[in-house]
Amino acid sequence: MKPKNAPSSPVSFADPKLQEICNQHLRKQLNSLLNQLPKNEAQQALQLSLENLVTKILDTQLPHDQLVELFATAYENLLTSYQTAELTESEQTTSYLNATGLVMSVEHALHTFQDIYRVQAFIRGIHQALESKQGSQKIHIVYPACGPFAPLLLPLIRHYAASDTARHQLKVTLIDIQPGAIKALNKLISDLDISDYIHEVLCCDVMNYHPNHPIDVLVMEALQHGFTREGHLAFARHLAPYLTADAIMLPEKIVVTASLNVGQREFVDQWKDNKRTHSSLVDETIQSERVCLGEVFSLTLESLRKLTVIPLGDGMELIECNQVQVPKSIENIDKTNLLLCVTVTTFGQEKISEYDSGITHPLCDMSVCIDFVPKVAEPDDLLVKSGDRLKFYYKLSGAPGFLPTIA
Amino acid sequence: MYKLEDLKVTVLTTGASSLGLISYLAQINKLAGVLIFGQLDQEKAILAQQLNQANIATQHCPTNDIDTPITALATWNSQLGIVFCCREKIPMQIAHAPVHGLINLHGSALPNYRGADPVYWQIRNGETQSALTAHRLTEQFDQGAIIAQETISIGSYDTANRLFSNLIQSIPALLETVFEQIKQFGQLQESPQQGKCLLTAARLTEQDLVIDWHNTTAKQLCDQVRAGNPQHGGARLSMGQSQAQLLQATPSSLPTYGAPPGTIIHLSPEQGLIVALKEESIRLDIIANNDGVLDGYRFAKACYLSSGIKFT
Repeated sequence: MKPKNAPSSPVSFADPKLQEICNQHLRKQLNSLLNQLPKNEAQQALQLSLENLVTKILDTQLPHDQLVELFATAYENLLTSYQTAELTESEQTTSYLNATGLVMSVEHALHTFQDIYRVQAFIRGIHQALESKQGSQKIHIVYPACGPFAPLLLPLIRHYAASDTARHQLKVTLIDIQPGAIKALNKLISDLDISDYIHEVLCCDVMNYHPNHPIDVLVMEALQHGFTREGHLAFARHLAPYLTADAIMLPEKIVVTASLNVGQREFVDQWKDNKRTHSSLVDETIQSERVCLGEVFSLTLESLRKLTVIPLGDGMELIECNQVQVPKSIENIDKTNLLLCVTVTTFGQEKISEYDSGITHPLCDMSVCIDFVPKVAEPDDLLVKSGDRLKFYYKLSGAPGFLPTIA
Repeated sequence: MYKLEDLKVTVLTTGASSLGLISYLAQINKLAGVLIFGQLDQEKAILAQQLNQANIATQHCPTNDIDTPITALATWNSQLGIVFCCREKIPMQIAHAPVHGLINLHGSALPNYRGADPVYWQIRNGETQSALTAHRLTEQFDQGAIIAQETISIGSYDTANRLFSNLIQSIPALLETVFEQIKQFGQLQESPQQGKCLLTAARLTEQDLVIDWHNTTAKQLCDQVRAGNPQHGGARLSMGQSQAQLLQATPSSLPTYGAPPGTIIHLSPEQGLIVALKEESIRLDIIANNDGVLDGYRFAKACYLSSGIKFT
């Protein structure tokens, strides 16, 4: 019994080389390496690998293979730091759903660093965002649900520390609900020698965090594909009142669009000759077969403050989203599936396009049945006809995600 | 006229589950022999071999063969036949062969739970009381007049095998009543079944073992699981094309926070594997698959499951 996202999944955003690093064999090798390497040398290797990575990705757009090499070295060193934090099995593997969404296990959260185009876009984006705030005396950066590596920010902070940049200007607050993540984070902060930059490391639910200092930069990435599963929107709504007037939220913009395509074409045929997914590798013919229905939802700081919220009781809420129309006269429309496609602008021109990352992998909503009645009916099925208008809502619950309805 | 001490009983059966009754009758020296009905499969062949080794008279009766059982009953000089754990329809012509006829032992308080799988359905429906009923064999299954009944409690953790064992243990008391009637009145005392059959016990199908995450409560799922444990492998746990057997489950107090039924809402070494139902949650305690019999946490780890993933 394996879920669709089990490690054996044939094609994913992560380069196979990076996936391999996590396998048991390499961990054992790493262990023996660890026993031989003096502590300060391991620390030095970690610091240098992150500095090198950030220097290169801030400097230029690297070819994929070079990027993989840099990430692989950094990832191995991060795993070394993680191992020496000596988390218990429970600290590593506990996962659960709470009122705002999925709390991923720490061992799962480690994999975020494999998502190299996501990490790159955030690091470049955060760097530019901080540069835009050069004049500020203090910059309070808050990174909720940051995981054991806080991978979108800490490599950049190490890069600053190496050149003694903004040491007394940046105040970083890191938050995670997983005690294991906090244990690993504290070890990593020590290994990176960046404690001067850290204001607080908090083990708490983001929804219980009420900062004493206004937030200047909010770095957040608590979503999975199709803008689902995790509490990104709930966290953003909770923290919005604590943002300064000129605060920057990263990502600056998240856009979700609805499209129709045949699942086999979109997810199988398109990638049959590739070892990984990326926007540069999409098949233009297959992309042209898509029927774009339109934008379902867009999240920016401005839109966050204007959300229409419908309370449902029991702590559940719905956010009103856009309406799109299913076109008429599309051939074989009954063979198509609804795709929810996310694109992310971290800051300025820094974007994560469809298929670049796990969070921008299109989500196939199997509950929407257009011009057909499923042989085996499921309770969530929505029977839709060509020409119908689909009105979307976003569920704020333990399983956040979009709820399509017929308008 | 024979004396009660000389009463000889023949057991009519199709499987080894009747061994408890057979050995009890042998022990009290009232066993005439055993008629094994239906096509001779491996289970029946083993049963016949075991009985032969114990010097118990045994006769195989192919389906629709009436002469063989009637001849055996006469040869063994049997005055009563007891049908038990029998999945074949006994031809009614046989019913009149012994002087006291044929009675059936049924594992429920008839008229409820008429049918082939009363033990499974009583546990699945969360019943707290059952009975072993001796009733007259009739053309219509489980509808004959009641001769004797022994009430049995069903514990909240009882599995199908536990309840069946308890039914077997009530055989001596039930038969004592039956024999006492023959002793006192020279015949069995029959009273018609009272009331309507509101709950039936149809033969189990694979579909009955499937978990309906959307429509079951935690209590109902726990009952479904223990009803199928161990004989039917509990209840079926499915994800895509893969299946496993859920052998034990316990209601959990964790809130589901609106997660769709079937979604894993918690996984940890301490609290195990907890899944959302429509309004409640349930801990999946023991699961069997090709890897072996595992607790929920280890099963999830072996199958790369984590919170947020949904069983189908």
